[in-house]
Amino acid sequence: MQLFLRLLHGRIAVALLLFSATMTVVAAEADIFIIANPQSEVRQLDRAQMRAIFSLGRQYWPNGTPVRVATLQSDSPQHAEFCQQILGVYPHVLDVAWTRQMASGQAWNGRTFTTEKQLLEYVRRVPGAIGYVSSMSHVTDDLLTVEVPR
Amino acid sequence: MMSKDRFKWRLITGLLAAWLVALAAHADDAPSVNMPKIYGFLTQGYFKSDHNNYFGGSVGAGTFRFRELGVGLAGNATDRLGFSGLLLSRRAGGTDNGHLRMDHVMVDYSLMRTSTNNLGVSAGRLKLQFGLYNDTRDVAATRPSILLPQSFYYDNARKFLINADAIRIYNVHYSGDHVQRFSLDIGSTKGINNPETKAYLLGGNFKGSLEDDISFAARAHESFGGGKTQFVAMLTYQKVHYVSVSGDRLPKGHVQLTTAWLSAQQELGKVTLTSEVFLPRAKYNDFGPIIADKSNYPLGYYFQAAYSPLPLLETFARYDVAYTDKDDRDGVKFSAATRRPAHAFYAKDVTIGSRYHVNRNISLSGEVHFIKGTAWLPVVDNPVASETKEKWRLLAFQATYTF
Repeated sequence: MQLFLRLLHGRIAVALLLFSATMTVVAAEADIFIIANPQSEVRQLDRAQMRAIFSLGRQYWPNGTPVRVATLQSDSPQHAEFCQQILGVYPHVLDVAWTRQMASGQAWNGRTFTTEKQLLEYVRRVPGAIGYVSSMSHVTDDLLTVEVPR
Repeated sequence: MMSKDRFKWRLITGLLAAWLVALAAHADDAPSVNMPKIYGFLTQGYFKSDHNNYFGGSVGAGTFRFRELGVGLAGNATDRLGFSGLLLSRRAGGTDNGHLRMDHVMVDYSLMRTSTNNLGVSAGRLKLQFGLYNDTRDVAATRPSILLPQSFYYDNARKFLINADAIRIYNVHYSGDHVQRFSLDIGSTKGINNPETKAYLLGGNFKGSLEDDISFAARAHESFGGGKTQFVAMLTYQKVHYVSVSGDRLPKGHVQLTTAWLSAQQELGKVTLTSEVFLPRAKYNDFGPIIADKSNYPLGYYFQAAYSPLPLLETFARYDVAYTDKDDRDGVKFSAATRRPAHAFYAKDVTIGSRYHVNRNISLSGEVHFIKGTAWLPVVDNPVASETKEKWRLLAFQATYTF
């Protein structure tokens, strides 16, 4: 009986540990906000649609405006966070998708930037552009914020 | 008459000039959008085998005679008009000499767009789009392994299956996370007259030459879940003429190739499962007694499981099977007819490998093959068939720089 209780305690402890680890992971997730140029007319996208767009699989918005994808460099922490949180892939998977689309002559509508400021400026200026930022502090009313249900 | 090389360079120069003119016309509106994208890659491989040579003298100390170098350019001249090109140098033992060539160069025009469809046309030297990987097979970063599964992406046949001077009409349909792409290609495949293709199609390096007729390809690509589930089906038809010369053992004739290429891929978290099947029919006509009028049915397929245990590490295991004729799987009938060993008509390859992404530009790969049979062994690296061994192992390493 004592052995059983010890085992039970052990399992509860492990379960608590796992639960707290999960909580820690959730708490450690950085904020990612999806932003878009108003001409995209996009307000909400699910994760699979986001992946189709950010893999350069979708070339046009429903209103016919070309999709222009903007990301940070693929080795930046914010990009890794975006890939895993929003798209559910590792950054190298997205790199391969871009190279494949470009080298097969099918799509080249992606741009990378070294700073969020440059990315934000691109999305603001280029019709149909979509990207992400880790802070809303520089996001002005002339940009759309795209909701991605988790 | 203008040489092919001069024509090629004039075409590239013309495309660049067209882009510069278009860029100047749009100088005020967001110039960085129309800046073309330049990309490139450099790959160096090393191959070592215990028997049979692969990409040079791999038996013994091994061989470094595998190198790929490419620089590409892609961009838009206008909202609807795009262009893309890739210059490639590939060295692969005796099968490829490293000479610079146009991998593809094309213009693309969007004819009509609705809220869910884009109907377009591409023209130029186009990559053939069979399977999941053929259109980028020489870009190492896009391959799942150093060597693509040879039952499907047969390197000896690559020269006439790589690209074509063609027109492609396509339609892309978008529906949420589902992207559906249909295309029809009409054109003439390139690189058909060479010893490897003659050996592949005719069973020997005869004196005459191979000439391609008009070829057709129809393709459907379905992508669900933003790319988590993919299906590709392609049907191709090629007619190849053999033109004999004086003193030739083989009289003129032609081969009709009808091929179905089927591919499926499913991503399940960190695991990706892939399978592709190659189902051709080769119909021989008018070659006289040396190649009787007949149809051969080769068969190739593979299953692959890839697993990414860590963000920068990928691993895979694969079982790949090729038969020269599906009705002669042990090669006995073909061996009796050709006096080549029976193992030259099948190959079963078990491969395990991994790739490590050092950073966003550099990756290192390694893989080992355990092979029974020599059906896809390069003939030019192994000219005497009777000296080849049925059971052999191949070790490969590769470093790739991509920008």
